[in-house]
Parts: sequence; C-alpha cells; structure tokens
Amino acid sequence: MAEEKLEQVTQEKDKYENLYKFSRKLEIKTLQEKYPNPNVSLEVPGYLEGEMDENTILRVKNLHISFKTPNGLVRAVRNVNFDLKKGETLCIVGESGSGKSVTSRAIMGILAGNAIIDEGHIYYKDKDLAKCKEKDFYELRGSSIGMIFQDPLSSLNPIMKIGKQLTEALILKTGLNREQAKVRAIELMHEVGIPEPEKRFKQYPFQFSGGMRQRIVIAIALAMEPEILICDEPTTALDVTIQAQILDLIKKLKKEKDLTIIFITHDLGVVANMADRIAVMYAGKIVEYGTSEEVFYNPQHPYTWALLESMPSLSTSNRLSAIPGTPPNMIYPPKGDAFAQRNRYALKIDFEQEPPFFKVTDTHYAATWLLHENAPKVENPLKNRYQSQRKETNVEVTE
Amino acid sequence: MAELENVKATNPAEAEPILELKNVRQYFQHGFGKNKVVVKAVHNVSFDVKKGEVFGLVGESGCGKTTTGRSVIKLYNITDGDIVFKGVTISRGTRTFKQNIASLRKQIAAIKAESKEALDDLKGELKLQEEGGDTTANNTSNRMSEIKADEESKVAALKEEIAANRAKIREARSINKRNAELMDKMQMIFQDPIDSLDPRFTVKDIIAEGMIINGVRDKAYIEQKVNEALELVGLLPDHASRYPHEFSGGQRQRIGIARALVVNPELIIADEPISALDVSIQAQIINLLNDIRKDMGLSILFIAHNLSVVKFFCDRIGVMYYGRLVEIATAEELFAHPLHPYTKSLLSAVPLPDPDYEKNRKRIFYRPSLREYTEDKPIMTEIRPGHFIYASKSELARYERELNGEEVEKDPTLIYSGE
Repeated sequence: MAEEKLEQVTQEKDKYENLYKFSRKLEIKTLQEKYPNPNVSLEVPGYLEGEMDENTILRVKNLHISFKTPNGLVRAVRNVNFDLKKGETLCIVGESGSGKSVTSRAIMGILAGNAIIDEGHIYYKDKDLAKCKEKDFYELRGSSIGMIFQDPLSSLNPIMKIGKQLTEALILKTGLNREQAKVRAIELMHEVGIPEPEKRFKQYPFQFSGGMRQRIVIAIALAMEPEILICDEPTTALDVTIQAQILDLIKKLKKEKDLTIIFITHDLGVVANMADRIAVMYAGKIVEYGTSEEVFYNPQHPYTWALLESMPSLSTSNRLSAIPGTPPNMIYPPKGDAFAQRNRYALKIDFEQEPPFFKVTDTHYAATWLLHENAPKVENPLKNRYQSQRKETNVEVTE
Repeated sequence: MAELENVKATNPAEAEPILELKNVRQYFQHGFGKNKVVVKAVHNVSFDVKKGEVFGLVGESGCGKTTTGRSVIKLYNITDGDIVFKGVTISRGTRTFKQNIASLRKQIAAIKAESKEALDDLKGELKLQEEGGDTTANNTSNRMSEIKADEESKVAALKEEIAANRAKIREARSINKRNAELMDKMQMIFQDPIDSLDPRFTVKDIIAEGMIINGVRDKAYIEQKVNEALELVGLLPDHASRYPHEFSGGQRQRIGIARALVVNPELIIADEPISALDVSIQAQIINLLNDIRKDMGLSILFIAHNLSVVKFFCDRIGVMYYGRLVEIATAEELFAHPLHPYTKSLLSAVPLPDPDYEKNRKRIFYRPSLREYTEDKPIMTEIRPGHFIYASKSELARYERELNGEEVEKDPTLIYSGE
C-alpha cells in the first residue's frame, strides 16, 4: 500500500520537477508570455449563448485569473462562465481552492495585489468589471454590489464602534449628515433583527455574539441598497441554529429588497436551502451548472456525485464514500479533466482531453465525457438516496 | 452540597464504562467583590462512555461541550463532581466541601450567638439575684455553666466535621495531581489542524513529543513508532521530516490523529475534528476515525455540532443546552423520537442536501423562558431503557404519552415557524 503511494508520489515529482526548477529562474512575467495559460480557450459553453437580455444582471464570460507566487503562476480561475438573472440566488459550490471566492472577489474588484486577470469579461450593465480601474469600482462597490464575508469577527474593525462602521459609508457616499445617517443606521439594525438598536449603536464588535456580528455585517452591506449581494461563506463560522437564523434573514431581506444573490459555500445543505441555480466548481472551473432541483436530483458530473455522497445524510448507515486524494496543485493544472485522478468513473479520454459542456436540459449543463454519446453508461450512484432520506425525514414530495 | 439530581446515565446491562462523569460542574469566575462574575460553563453533568463506544456531545456554540471535553482531560480543574477513568477517580471538585465548611461555620456562629444571648440574660439575672442576696443565685450560675458546656460540645462536633471536610479537600487535591500513567491512556484531537500543530516542529517531533515526555529515550523505537503511526493514518514515513505548513488541511488533521494514537490511548476526545475541513476531506477523516476505532477498540468522546455526522458516527448522543445535558439516547432513538424541545429545535435546524425538503422544512424555536420550573423541579430521568431526559414530573408524563404515540398538547416552550 505504502509502496504504491510512494511510487505515485515520485512519479508526480519527476513530472513537475523540471518545470518547477525552470519557473523559479524566470521572471514571472516572461514566464507568462513564454508559456501562455495552456487552458485558455475562447470556447464558451452553450448556456451563455445569446446577448445579455434585460433579465441578465451580470454576465461572467471566459474569465481567467492567475496569481503570481514565488513558486510560479497559480491558475486559480480557468474559464468560468455564468449568467446572473435578476432576483435569483446563484450558489457557487466547491472545495477550498476551487476558485469560487476568487471569482466573486473579481466581481467586486478586490483581488489581491498579485492577481492577474488573464482574460475574460465581467459584464455589469454597460461596464466590463474585468477592465475597470480602481476609480470606477469606487462607485460600484457598496452601492451596486455588496459583499458579506465569512468571518464576522475579522470583517469588523475591533476598535471602532458599530455605529461608526455602519454610518461610515452612508456619510461618505450619500451626503447624509451624522444625525440623518444615525437614524438610517438604526433603521437598518432594526431590519436585520438586532434588539435595542439605540443601545447597540454605541457598542464595540466584541460585545456582540457571532450571529449578531454577522447581522451587523449584513446591515453594512445593505446600507447603500445594492442590487447584487455576494455572500462569501457567511455561515461557515456559525453553528447550526444561528446558521438557520442568518439564512432566514438573508432570504427575508432578498424578498423585501429585491436582491440578486451570489452565495458561496461548501455546505450542500445550505445550498439546498438557498439556491435557485447552482454552479459546481472544481479546480478553477465550473463543472456543472443547473437549477437547484436539477443539480440535486439529477446530478451528472462525477464530482457532484462524489460531493453529495461524501456528506452523510440522516439515513446513511454504511461507510461514507470519501473522495480520495486532494485537489490538484493549480500551479500545474492537470491535462484533461482536472477531477480525473480522483474520479471513480474516469475514462481514458479524461486524462487527455478536457471535456466540453454537454447539454442535459435547456438549463442544465455538465462538463464530463460521460455524457458523450459514445461513453459507457454509468448509473447515477445517488438514485435511491432521496427516497430513503425522505422516509427518514417524513417529507412528502410530489414529483 | 452535591445535588444528586442527575441520575447516572447508565444501562447496567451494557459494557462497563471507561469514563464516568458524576455531577461535574465547571465554573469560571473573574472579578472580585461586586464585580465578581461566575460563568457556569458546565452545570451538573453526568454521563458515561462505555468501552469501545463513540459518545457524541452536541449543542450550539457556548453550551459547554468543549469545556466538558477539556475538563475530562484535565486541562481545567473541575469545580465540583467526580471524573472516573478506568475505575480510578482522576478529578474531584472541591466546591461541595468548601460549601459544607462555609455552612458549618455559619452554624457555629449561630450557636455561639444563641448561647451568648442566653448567657447575657442569665448574667443580668445573676447580678440582680446577687445584689438582692437571693439564694437561687447558685442555680443560675449552674445553668450558665451548663449552657457553656453544651455550646462547647456542639461546636467541637461541628469543628470535627469541618476538619473532615478539609481532609476531603486535601484528598481531592491529591487526586487532582497528574496521574501520568493513567492520563496517557486519554488523548485529544483538536478542532483546528493549523493552530494545534507547532509550525517549527517537524512532523516527527510533533508525533514523538508525547513519548519523549513520558521518558522514552530509545531513538530507534521512537522512529519506528512514529512511522507506524503515520502509516496508520494514511501518511508516508518520509513525511516525518517535513513541517506542518507543507501539508493540506486534511493531512494536518491526520498528523493530529497520529499524535494522539502514538501513545496507545484507550479514550480519545475529539473536539470538532472535522468542522474546519472541506466537505470532501471530512468524509476521509470520519472514515479514518471509524477504521481506527474498530481496529484498536478505542472509545471516543466526539464533540461536534454537525448533526448528520454525529448520527452517522456516534453510538450514543448527549444533547447539551446552556451547560446542562438535556437528553441522552442512542443515535437512532434520538433521531427517531426526540423528546426534549431543545433537541427538536436543534434537529429542525440541520440543513440537508435536498431542495424539496429544505423548502418544506418547518423550523422550530425553543424558548425556555416560556416555562416555569419554580415548583416542579426538573431531574434527569430514564424514560425508556437508555433514553434519558431532563424534565419535570408534568413534562415527563407528557413525554411518556408522546412516546406511546398518543396525541399530546403542544409543548409550551416551542414556537413553530410561521406562527
């Protein structure tokens, strides 16, 4: 067992050693010119066909993002495409390092300093956010696109009173004076369900519990009434009961304020609760894209299967089927399908050629060779899961 | 005073327990005088972990489940109660004895005050009688000496009791001293695989540290054990010379597990070992823990807030709410027949990967303030074999009817969403 593993590791090492040594010596910029991103392709999946219509509020097209690091270029996002329809909740699911946060940060224009947008467009209204300057983002951030971060403790300033953090943007951008801004801030705190907002207005973040802090963060994000709200794992740091409260709050606010939400998470339970549409990401790519029902009840990509299988439902009793191995090193993105090495159902072609998007229905697309007409038929391992689960939870569903 | 309100949660028919907690309390205090604040993190908790069993502790953050785990492994000295590990008491709290001493001292003061009052009265009488040349003066002085003797004997008895309590405190302190041999058999796996590994130690140093502290000096033996432990958790022997930052989150958690396993423990306290990991890695770690547990016959105290994982992994589950255990049952029983309102509300908050279920899900909220416990005090009671619940008598009657499948009136502490 150990010998096998050792062999595998040494093989991998040899494969990358030459490249690795080479990339260290070169300037990163010349490296990029000399070895252009091997995975850049202008191929756009079928679901992005056609012009942006009135319903499409945001379109991410052919987006490629890399990070300069001392070890080489990390290809964090490789050809991401999606549409955001007005009033919907799009959930982006994936492991850490799959590029979901990077995509959302690119939309907000808050990528780290060593990031390069290699290619691609982010269309919002008449602007292309991928080419926007910092000055242009100044008008968009907060007032058009708001963002909630994962850790409510570190996204608030610990030495600034809650009231000041809430009114900061209001005073700066809308020209309200301090008293008016305070009235508005207390209104906001009331909306997000904070009891005694007048008293809480004068307190510091450490005097709030985790759930209350996250409510404050939501209030700050909504202060300027944005159209799009990006939630980057807003409940990962919270426990189940508080998580349920925050999710309910986000759903309520969405209805009241007519928000469009991009929700990033790795918890599939949360996704089932929130999503209208789901994009599953792996190794910097969207591998499956469809409505919530389609992705949960008729998943097509082996990675989606594996993700769903590795979560014990309340009815799982035998051994969990874990995904073996770890995500690939994105300095050397693998050839072919990035998931092939961890995939039980991998075909030979998966190791050689990248799968294009296959259409399942008009709204459901998956990038896997298994959907090709010549591929062997593989039965969906999750077929019977929902029936047994429903028995367990006593939920009746009419199909 | 040790309130024996928590009945020991055991089923005598089953295997012998490896760990027992008896009325354990863990209070933290800060400040002095009127600023003194006492936080009752763990409040009278009793349960036990059987040999080869996985016992799950669930509850929201701040309910004291992590504190319970840390108290068991003696990272804190417990305030009150007993912790018994492999039949030996390893921790004993002194709060009961201190309270006893305080109340005894109060009794002494009361007795002294009483007799002083009586003596003062008699003194006045005696003075008058002596001035008046009364012949009963002798009688009065006799009565005075009687009262004095009575007081002395009572106080002496109470003082003896105080001494006995003091001796018990001394005994508790000697119990609380580290019992190295026994504590080796108990190891902990921490939540955050990044913070719990020393960044300047190699993997070998990290894993071998426990053995070196225990006095193992044979380098070849240490290396062999380290390699064995690494292999056991699915890492390679040549990983031993690397540093923690070279590993991914899942691999780091494996190192943490190897560190716990290298000294051949019998009980492992796993404090949310998977909540900091990715979904796909969580399953790997759960499977690993499951395999190790079966191979080595380990008992695990598993602390978590992800209920679907807890149901999958644990044999029995204890639900904690604000420092108290409110329900103990086998995993199947707890999910099939949750009785305590808090358990119900917790189960209703679990998100499942099923959109239709999520859309139809009704949240239940627990509002303990809607109930009064002033007259009908709640106690931990065994409602079915192996199913314990913290309830008052009237509630117990209702739960029993609920278990029998009868229609029952709505729980007053529950609020259903949409109401």
